Amino acid sequence: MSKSPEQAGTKEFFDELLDEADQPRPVAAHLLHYLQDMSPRELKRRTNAVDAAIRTMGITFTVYSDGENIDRAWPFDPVPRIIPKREWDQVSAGLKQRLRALNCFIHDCYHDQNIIKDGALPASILADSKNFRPQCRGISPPFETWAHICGTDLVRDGDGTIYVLEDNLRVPSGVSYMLENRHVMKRVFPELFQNQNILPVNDYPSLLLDTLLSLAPEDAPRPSVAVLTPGIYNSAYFEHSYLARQMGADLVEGQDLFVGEDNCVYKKTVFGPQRVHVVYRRIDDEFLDPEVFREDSTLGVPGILRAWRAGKVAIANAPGAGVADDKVVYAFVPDFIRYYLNEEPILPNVPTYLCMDPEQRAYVLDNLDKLVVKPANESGGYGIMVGPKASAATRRQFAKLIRQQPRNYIAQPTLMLSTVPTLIKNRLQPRHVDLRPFVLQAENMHVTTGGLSRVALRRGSLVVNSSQGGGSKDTWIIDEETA
Amino acid sequence: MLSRVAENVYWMARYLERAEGAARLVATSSQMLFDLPRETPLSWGTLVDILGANEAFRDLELETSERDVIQFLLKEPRFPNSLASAVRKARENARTCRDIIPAELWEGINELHYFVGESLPSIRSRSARHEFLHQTIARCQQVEGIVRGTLSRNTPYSFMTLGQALERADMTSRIVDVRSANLLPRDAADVYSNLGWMSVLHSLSAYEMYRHEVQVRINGQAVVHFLLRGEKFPRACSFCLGRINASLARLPRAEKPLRRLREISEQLDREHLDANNLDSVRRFVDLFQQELNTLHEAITDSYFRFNHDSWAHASAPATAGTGQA
Repeated sequence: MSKSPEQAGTKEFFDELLDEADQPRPVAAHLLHYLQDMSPRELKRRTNAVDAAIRTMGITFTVYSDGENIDRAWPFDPVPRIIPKREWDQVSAGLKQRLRALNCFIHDCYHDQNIIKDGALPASILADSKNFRPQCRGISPPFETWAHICGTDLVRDGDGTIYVLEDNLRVPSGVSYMLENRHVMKRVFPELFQNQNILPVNDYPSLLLDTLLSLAPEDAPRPSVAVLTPGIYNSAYFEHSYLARQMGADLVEGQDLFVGEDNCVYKKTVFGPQRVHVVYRRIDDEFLDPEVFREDSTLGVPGILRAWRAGKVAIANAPGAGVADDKVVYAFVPDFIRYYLNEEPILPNVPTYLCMDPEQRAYVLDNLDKLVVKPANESGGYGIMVGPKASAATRRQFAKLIRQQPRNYIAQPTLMLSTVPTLIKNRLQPRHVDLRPFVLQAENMHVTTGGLSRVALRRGSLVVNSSQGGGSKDTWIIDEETA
Repeated sequence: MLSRVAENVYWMARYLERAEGAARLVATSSQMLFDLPRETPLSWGTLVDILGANEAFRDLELETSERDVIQFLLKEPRFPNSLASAVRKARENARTCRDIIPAELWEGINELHYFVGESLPSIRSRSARHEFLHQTIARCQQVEGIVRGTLSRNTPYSFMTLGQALERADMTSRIVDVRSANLLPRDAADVYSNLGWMSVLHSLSAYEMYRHEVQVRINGQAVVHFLLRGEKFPRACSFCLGRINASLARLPRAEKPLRRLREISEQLDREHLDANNLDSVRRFVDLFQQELNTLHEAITDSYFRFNHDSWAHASAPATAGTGQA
């Protein structure tokens, strides 16, 4: 296999597998030599095998704009992204620290709001939060934990530092693809796993199940867990079904559940009603309970919030947890870590300008061509403006939006996202990546070994979301010390 | 087991069987055609009639030519019972119950779906068609093998068996109808008449089993009894009713569908069946299909339509059956 000319001389970006001299980093040496020794024909045979495996296994995702075609094959690049275990241990500690602080913050929001009383967070941020749910005030969920499953997006900048880009703690998705990516790699490149210590990822479903079970109300000797999905047309349906299957839980839609007069949640089975103790919901708050939130929601379960407040059912993530999934709140997470945990943040935030602050807004408006502007409450990469790539008209439009709703926008410097060699037309070319590990918190805390690496398949593109033409890679945490 | 998922599993099995049935139906007709003298007219429109699809066929303004009818039965996306539609729906239903079926089963259905989608457009000759039908049937049987070999004998299996047996009984009766309806001219010579019954047996993979069990030369009377009232051959209608009975017996609250099933069996036993009189076969088959529909309704009412009123203590914790779902 040959390197393409553009592989050389792109060192304004940090490459995860190649050093400044374009030589394999020690941790990637085995992989890159293996790929170099492979004939183009054999490589083609393997990539075809990857496509066939993905198709047969039915690993799909959904793009809303794609009309009736509800399943597209998952775009997967066979060149893995590699992180040494020593570095990952540090990242992992940082992720746990961060989620602990976020959960303290959410709990505080719905109780005494000490952080505001103590002047560490402006009151207006909570007052104007779209995802603050007054209905959740005073509730104390088990372990005072609200966000049980968090997908944290990490990026590595040009200097090699790993930053937290955002915390997804409403209904983060992607973990099933992380697991299936590994499955496909082992199926198609088994020999790569023989000679190096690539840490396994497949205990996630068991850890997730343990996490969910530990939330069950105490009156349940044999708790029953259900995964609540909006249904087959949701973009993450594959994952909902995958996780239910892996955990042995029921995959339910809103119509399969009801809340009885005893405030317990039941599923409608062929044996009659049966109690559900833990609901892993993959539906946004707004649609969860038409009695409390959006009345027109047909996806939710009328009365489920009542059941939750009565302690008859656990909901993960808890309603209201999204208050911390807000890019304005994000800017304060390092402060949360200091305030609630009395620790210094292990993982840095990306510098963030809050448009609600007049001075910072002025800076953002003056520098739109250099910054990335993001809405505070969107996900999936929607509504983002990448300043250096945006047209003058788009920049004008965003300037207007920022002036109209300053609380709803933040801006960050355009990051030099790190690259990983990626197979494009049977040649290795650098493509930008990010990383989404998943963090669990309930009775215990866990971090996935690595996470989902997403890759922007278009040359030069920084947008990695699968809904916008991104692909993914297997992510290896390699323990070099025991190799 | 969730009522909604039970219904999806049931329909997944029905659609799989329907796809296989459609393939066998077209194969039977083609077989008969190959045996006939060239000048004998074969009425392809009868196939549409047998599937109860006259209205859909008319709406599409098709002709009763071989080309149009085959196209309609195998490919037509707007005809919900075409082979391609049935496979697509089987897959859609499988997708909604992937959490309770083995991964292999999903992969088998998925591969069937891709096979059908990729093969159908290129079928132009009769030999290509024959090969396609043959392979489709083989793949359906492979999927059935996965079900038998990997699925625990619990509630999902019962619903899958219900769906499969009901659809299979229905399809067998329709394939018998290919011969008894006026696909062949009434005055066809005896030799062709018996050849017709032979191709019915072949297309149901029943030829050897018939020979073995019946031990008389092929004649209409014996074949009709073997396929409609046989108790041993797995595609025979009575055999299928026996499987439905056994599956229902393993399910809770099966009183209503079981009662319906008993009534149907008694009624069919009383019904006169004379293969020499093809109209009597047709009557029997029509009656049988109608009765299967009422059985389907009874199953739907008991298990798929979760009705709060039918649960006296809807809000009391259900202990019976907990954990079995």
